Amino acid sequence: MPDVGARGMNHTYRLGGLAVASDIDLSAWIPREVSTDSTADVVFRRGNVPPQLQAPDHVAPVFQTRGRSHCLLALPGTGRILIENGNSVTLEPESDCGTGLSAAGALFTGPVQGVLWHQRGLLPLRASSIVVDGRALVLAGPSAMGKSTLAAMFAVKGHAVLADDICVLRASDAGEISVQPGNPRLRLWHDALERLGLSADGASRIRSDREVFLVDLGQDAVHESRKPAAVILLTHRGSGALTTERLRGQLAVGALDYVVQARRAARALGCGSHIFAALTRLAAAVPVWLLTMTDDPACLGEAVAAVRSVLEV
Amino acid sequence: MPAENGLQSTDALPAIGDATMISRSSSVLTAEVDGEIVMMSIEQGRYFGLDDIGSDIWKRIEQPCSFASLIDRLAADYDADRATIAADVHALLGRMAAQDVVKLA
Repeated sequence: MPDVGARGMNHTYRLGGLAVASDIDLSAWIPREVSTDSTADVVFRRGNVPPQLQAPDHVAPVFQTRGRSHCLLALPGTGRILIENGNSVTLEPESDCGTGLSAAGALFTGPVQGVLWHQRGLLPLRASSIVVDGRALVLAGPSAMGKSTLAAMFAVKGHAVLADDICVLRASDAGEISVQPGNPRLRLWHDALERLGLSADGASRIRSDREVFLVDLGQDAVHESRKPAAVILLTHRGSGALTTERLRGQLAVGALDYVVQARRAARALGCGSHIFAALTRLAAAVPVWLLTMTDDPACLGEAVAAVRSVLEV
Repeated sequence: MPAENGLQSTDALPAIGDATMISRSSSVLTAEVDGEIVMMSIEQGRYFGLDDIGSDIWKRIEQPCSFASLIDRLAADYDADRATIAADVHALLGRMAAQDVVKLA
């Protein structure tokens, strides 16, 4: 592992095959690495972050980029985060109060990680993944679509969780797509826990202002990447019946693009060609389904049956 | 000849005559998925899809060619009159040019 300045870091973690060293306790978000040494693939630290990048190529309301190597996120309520070279994250919280760091920790699973993975040439999707018959079933969708809850429905039946919230795909030079192991802890709202008959006791609360908990459902951890079996894109409408629709061609690729984590920043970083190549390979390799959920409490059970059904097609 | 997804119609089609040279834009990425040509404009980050006929036209302009030459080759292979083919292809190429998928010169 390259030494990217991990000396003096108090915490080490493993995330998707990467060793992460941090001077911020991220153990609520990422499983702690048992062994420690002085090197790491990614270092996460507190420090001074300039309000602007020097000579940026791209300036958007919440991010700036320079080349592929530098991305500055300016997030109201959290602070500024500089992500460099796919191996360094520097956070300057908006304030020293707990909320800033708490929010930053949560962000490490979202946009920050997304940019990191793009800089490293991988493809992060807003998705959870579980193992079905040895392959990765990818459950993708925007926030609050029920990805983690649906993954939990499978997990309580004994399926291992490969990743939650962010699912990282690697496209090899030979064109093969694999799903990398990520954070197996599921982010579940309190009502989802109740629906699943699970207790919030002992679960880490992600943020003090939200009823979202990180839950480890106790299956054996998956350390190896898996070939994808299918992608289920979750969407929602208030009423009506649950539906499934197979997406093909441009519709499949365009829908997958919508769930690429940090996609605007990634395009600004010059990753557009890479994203296109990975998404078209994915859509060519596995079926892509659109699963439309409803507010009906029975919908989750129907969704599990629907997913099992499409896997058998 | 409905030949594309995502290529919106435009009121102001560029002028295309028999001698107009048609070529693929260098700013578009393509891949085949489910038998369909999927394209993305690098500049705009937008996705387009071509159906069987659109994909056939895309393959036929791998080497730049004139509009007349393209229509002649399509008329030889499709069971439709030349004027109908020319009108449909003219409209499709106009939309593709408006999205910077093809170049007209």
